Amino acid sequence: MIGEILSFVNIILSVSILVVILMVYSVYRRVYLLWFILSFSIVPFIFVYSLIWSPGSPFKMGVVVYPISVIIIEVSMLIAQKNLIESIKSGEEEEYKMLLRDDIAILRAYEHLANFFIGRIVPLIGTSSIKELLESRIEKHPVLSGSFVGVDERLNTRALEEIVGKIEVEEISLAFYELISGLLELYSAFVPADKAIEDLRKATEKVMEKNAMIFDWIAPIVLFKTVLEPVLRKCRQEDIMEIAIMVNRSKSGIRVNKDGKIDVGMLYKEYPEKEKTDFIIDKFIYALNKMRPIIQQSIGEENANSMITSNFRKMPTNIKERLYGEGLVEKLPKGILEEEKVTLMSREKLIEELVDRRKKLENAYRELAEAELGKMKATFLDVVAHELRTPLTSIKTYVELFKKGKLGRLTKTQKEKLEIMEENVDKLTNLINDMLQIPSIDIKELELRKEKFPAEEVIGEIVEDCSTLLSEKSMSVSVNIPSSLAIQGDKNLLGKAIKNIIGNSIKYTPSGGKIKISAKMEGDKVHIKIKDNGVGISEDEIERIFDPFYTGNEKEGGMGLGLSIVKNIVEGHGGKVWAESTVGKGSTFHLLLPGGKND
Amino acid sequence: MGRIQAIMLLLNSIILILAALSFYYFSRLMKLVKVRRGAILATSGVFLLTGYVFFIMPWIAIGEAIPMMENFSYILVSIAFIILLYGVSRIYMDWKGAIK
Repeated sequence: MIGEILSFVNIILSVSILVVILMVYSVYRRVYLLWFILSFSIVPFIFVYSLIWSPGSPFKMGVVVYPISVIIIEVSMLIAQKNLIESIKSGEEEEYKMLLRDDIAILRAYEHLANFFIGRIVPLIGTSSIKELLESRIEKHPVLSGSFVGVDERLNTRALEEIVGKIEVEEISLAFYELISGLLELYSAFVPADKAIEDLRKATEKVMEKNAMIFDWIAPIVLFKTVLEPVLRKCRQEDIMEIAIMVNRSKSGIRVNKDGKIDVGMLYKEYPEKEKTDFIIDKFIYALNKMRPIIQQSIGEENANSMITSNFRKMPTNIKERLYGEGLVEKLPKGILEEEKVTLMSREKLIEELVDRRKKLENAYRELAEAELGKMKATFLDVVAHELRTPLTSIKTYVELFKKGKLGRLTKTQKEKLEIMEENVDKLTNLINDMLQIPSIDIKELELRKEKFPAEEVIGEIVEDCSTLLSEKSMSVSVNIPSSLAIQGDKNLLGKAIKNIIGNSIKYTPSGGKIKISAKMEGDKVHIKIKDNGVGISEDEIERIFDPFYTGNEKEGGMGLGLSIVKNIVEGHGGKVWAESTVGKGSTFHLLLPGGKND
Repeated sequence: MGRIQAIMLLLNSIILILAALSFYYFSRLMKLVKVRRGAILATSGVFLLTGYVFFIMPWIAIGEAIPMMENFSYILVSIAFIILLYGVSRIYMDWKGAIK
């Protein structure tokens, strides 16, 4: 049973091999391939025969079919090999070498690339300069010895075939890179730089079409010479110099000269044996990231990004596809090939990105709505407060006139009632003033009013202001603030914030209670602690005490604006305020404010 | 020695001679040109030959088949075919890229 299964597997495999050999023949119709096809077409029949004939059958001699078949196969193979050797030896078909050998294939590709430019330079200046260039390169790279520009005005590198097998491809590539760079430079001297680059694109595309194996070796030329170099040349001379100094100092193997020409010859010496494409991409991204800030500074960010993107898009399609396939696009910095990034994104990634963007958009809308609402609230409060303050000022003025007897004499009772009236007008005025503090602190305006003031001094003044209230409730206050501590901010506003907290502590601490005020430096901030042994705040309330109009203890009255104003002022200064409390034991308010040491 | 054994010995001697000749030509080819994918093709050839030897050995030795050895030879041949399929596919890809 196992034998039958294995025979069946072998039939499938041998038929597959036969199909592939037929496909090879379809692209390269040669006689020796027909002999290979003949030899291999026998193989499936051997396994079909093994399914029909078994060793246990009466016709034992049937086994001779196997050796006979193998003999036929071997003879066909021998003829195929002999045929191939003779073809190569006679040199009838030069392309055999290219098909069979990597190094010859690469050599041919370089020759083709060089001849592309030679074909364009010769009509302009003849062959003498090309010959001189070749001689100088041979001097520098003996690997090129034997190559010459023939009477057909084309570079001939056939003599190199004898030695290429013994030399590393990296060395050959470096020599040809320098030869081709020289040719490109020579060509650029007679045509506009853009035309030379455009022709380099065409040449590399054709070479890739001929033999895709050259990709790893011409990719640096394409990336640096057709994408980055044209952008670099648009920069100001001093910026090019800056880039050159920076890049040349790095150990990237990339060199930039004062004209913005990029030399990547050194990269060929560093080529790894495997993952060459990753190596090139990484080197390119490194160089791009190094040069980009200066390029952007020189020709503008948008201009730089669009030029690099456009050069990428102009790149030969067959090279572009390979580079994109190896993940180049994903590694590019923001602003370059953005559309391609989106196209290359997988469906899932795209959905993720869309969901993410939607969330961001929703958040932005919410923030905008909140800001709008806040603005509306502020405007409303502003209008209401001002509208209330005007009649109050008028009432207060008349009350004062009555009190001074300027509007006629008053009885004692009338005077007493007027006192109450005046007191309530003052309360209302204070309340309106508080309401006006609710809108967000204008940071810009605050910057203008910022000053450094001693913490001890301002807190001392507040305690002094509250002395009447404190003595009414027989409360004691201890202040422990180092004299060296200084707060940075609007003295009036911060004073008001601290006063509000101290006032709150006095309000919610029973008679005979204690308030402790201390401060210390924490980094670049002043940490002020105001601790009382009052009624305390419950856990569910503590989170809301800084909300506007929140009144925890209704008995004490008030609009619930005091702590909200504190929060507003402190956060407006880039500080932080929070409270800790235990019901029945008291509360501690913490203020973290920008500060430092006294000068 | 039975008749089958004698015939098999004779035929397989020819096979061995041809295999040696084939190896000689392959070496010459390798000297002439450093054949791309040559190592893959050679490995596949070694597996094929070993598989065949295992298949045919019992017939030469005892004039009968040994099922276990036959199955083992089939496995070796399968491995050889897989390697060869990979080799010819790579050759096809290379050549397709080079010849348009």
